[in-house]
Amino acid sequence: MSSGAHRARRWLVVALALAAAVSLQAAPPTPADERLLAASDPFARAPSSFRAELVVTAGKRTLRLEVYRRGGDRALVRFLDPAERGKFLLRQGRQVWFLAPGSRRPLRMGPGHRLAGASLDELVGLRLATSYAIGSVEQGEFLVTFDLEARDADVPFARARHVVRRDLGLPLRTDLQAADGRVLRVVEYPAWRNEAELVPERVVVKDLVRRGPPVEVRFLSVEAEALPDALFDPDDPSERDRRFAAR
Amino acid sequence: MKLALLGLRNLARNRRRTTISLAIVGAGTVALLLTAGFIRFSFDGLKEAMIHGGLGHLEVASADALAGRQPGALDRSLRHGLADWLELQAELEALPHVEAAAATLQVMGMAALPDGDPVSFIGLGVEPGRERRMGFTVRLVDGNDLDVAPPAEGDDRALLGRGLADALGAQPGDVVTLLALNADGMLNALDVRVAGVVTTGVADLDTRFLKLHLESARRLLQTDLVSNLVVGLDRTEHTAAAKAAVEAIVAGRPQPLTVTGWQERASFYGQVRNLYLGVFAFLGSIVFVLVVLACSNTLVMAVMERMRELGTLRAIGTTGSQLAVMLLSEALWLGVLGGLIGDLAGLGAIALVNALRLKMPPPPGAVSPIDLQLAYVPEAFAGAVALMVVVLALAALAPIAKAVRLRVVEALDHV
Repeated sequence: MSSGAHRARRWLVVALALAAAVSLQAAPPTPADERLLAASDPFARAPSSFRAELVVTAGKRTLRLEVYRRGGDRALVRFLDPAERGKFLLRQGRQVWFLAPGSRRPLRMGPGHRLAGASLDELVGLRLATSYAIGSVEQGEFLVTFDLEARDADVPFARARHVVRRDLGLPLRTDLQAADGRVLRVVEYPAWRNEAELVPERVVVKDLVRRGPPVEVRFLSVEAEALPDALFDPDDPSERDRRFAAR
Repeated sequence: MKLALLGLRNLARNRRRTTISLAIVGAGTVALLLTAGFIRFSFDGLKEAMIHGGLGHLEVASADALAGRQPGALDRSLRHGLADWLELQAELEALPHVEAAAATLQVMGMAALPDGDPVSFIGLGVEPGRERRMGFTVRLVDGNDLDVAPPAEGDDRALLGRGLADALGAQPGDVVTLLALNADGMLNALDVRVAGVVTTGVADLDTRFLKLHLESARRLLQTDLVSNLVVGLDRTEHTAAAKAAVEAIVAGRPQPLTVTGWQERASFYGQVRNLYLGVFAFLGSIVFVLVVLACSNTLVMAVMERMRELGTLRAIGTTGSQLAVMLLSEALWLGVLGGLIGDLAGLGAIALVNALRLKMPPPPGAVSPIDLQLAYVPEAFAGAVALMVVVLALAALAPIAKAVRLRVVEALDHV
């Protein structure tokens, strides 16, 4: 083969490599990416108002919970274990309150407050689209990887890396990171109850800082239910008292 | 014997010199007695303050709660709390010399007023009735003590340390919400009304200290366990005997338990005691050296002033050893008499200092001035006299050597 042909082949290889690199390179987000991110949060396509019963397991420790969620920003977690009856965790937007039978007033908690190792967001949806802005997007053949940056300092993790299956918009894994990119927690979605509605059956949370056993969240039931505003009122317990008095 | 009496008569004959020597010995004795009295009072005061401040004479806790802990560590993990403690409590309270065996429950968490910033606290759930039977003291700054009766649900009350109350901005009557993790790591909250503000006597502890009824603490931590049983005795001297009796009771129980005496829990007391003993040894050695030097000087002067007398004694046949015994007996008489005079003066000085009710500035970390009181230490009175006899015997060595080496002709010619 002549040296000219050799040179031509070398240039061809370089050009293909460059093209491949450009195609894999992180690109700025498009409106389609924004839509995919918003649609890929667990429960993003679930009924806007629902009740779920779930079990959180961390090592030998098990916690039974009932979750009421309305829209993306209101959630009420009710503790079902006999010793924990009467306690609630309530979220409105970024605010989280702890309600206990021994205290008349709601107690404000940090947004990252955890139940048996899992945060409220990890139980009822991470709300990535509202908490994070897309920094860059990697478009793979089957997967889309979002590199996300917290919109403000209240968000517990400064950065996140969210991997979504392109065809179904199904989230596979979210790495929650510190500002320097160090991965602190990994949230995985190994099984789904309803892929169309993005209702998980199992969520696994791994804490890479504390190195404890992984936290597994199993959703026993998820039912659409109209929920009144009053259920999520931190200062007025009357609706909660009425609803849960006999349960 | 004759020489000993002769020594006494010599002292009586030289009144000025003897008075000076007795004053030196007496002053040294008084210094030792005052130091010993101060240290004994400090030890006893600190000991009783620690015991009746909440430590108790004995503690019964789960062996697992103490495993791997540093001696003197006071926190007890709730996971290893005492189960079935009511029966054990009754058994302990039936023992002789036991005033009460009070259950306590340790709590740590956050406290906050409505719309106030949360402040972390270190709390203790107690049985106020049993604490009072054991003579435990609560230093109220404001408000009232906890009620003896267990509070009804929704009527829980707490005493706040002065610093904690300041940090929260809380006063008696305010409702503070306590937040704590229970043994399962689950969060719980409890509203408590501030019954009173107290001081522990330690400024740093006051910024975190909170006390509530055992029932309230159990409500907050959602547990039937307690951290330990604190046993109070009628007298601290009965601690060793009571410990043996308590150990015999806990030995047969299914949950392995450990009985700990107050000395092992009061590491601070041990540290203070060692510090004071060091100070005492240092001061004592200074007094010892000063008295030895002063008395030695006085005795040497006595020999110099009596050179012709001693030369005459030697000239009429008194041997060197007889002279030495006579001078030694003078020194010993000085030690005995000076020590006794010092004892009498010490009694008066201790009574005077106690009557003046002097105050000392708060020690480091404490919030209140402490009374300057001195204890009468009988063994110190006897020991001081014995010590002075030894001191004077040592002080006499140089003058005796000088007298024994006297040349009679030179001594008789001494002016």
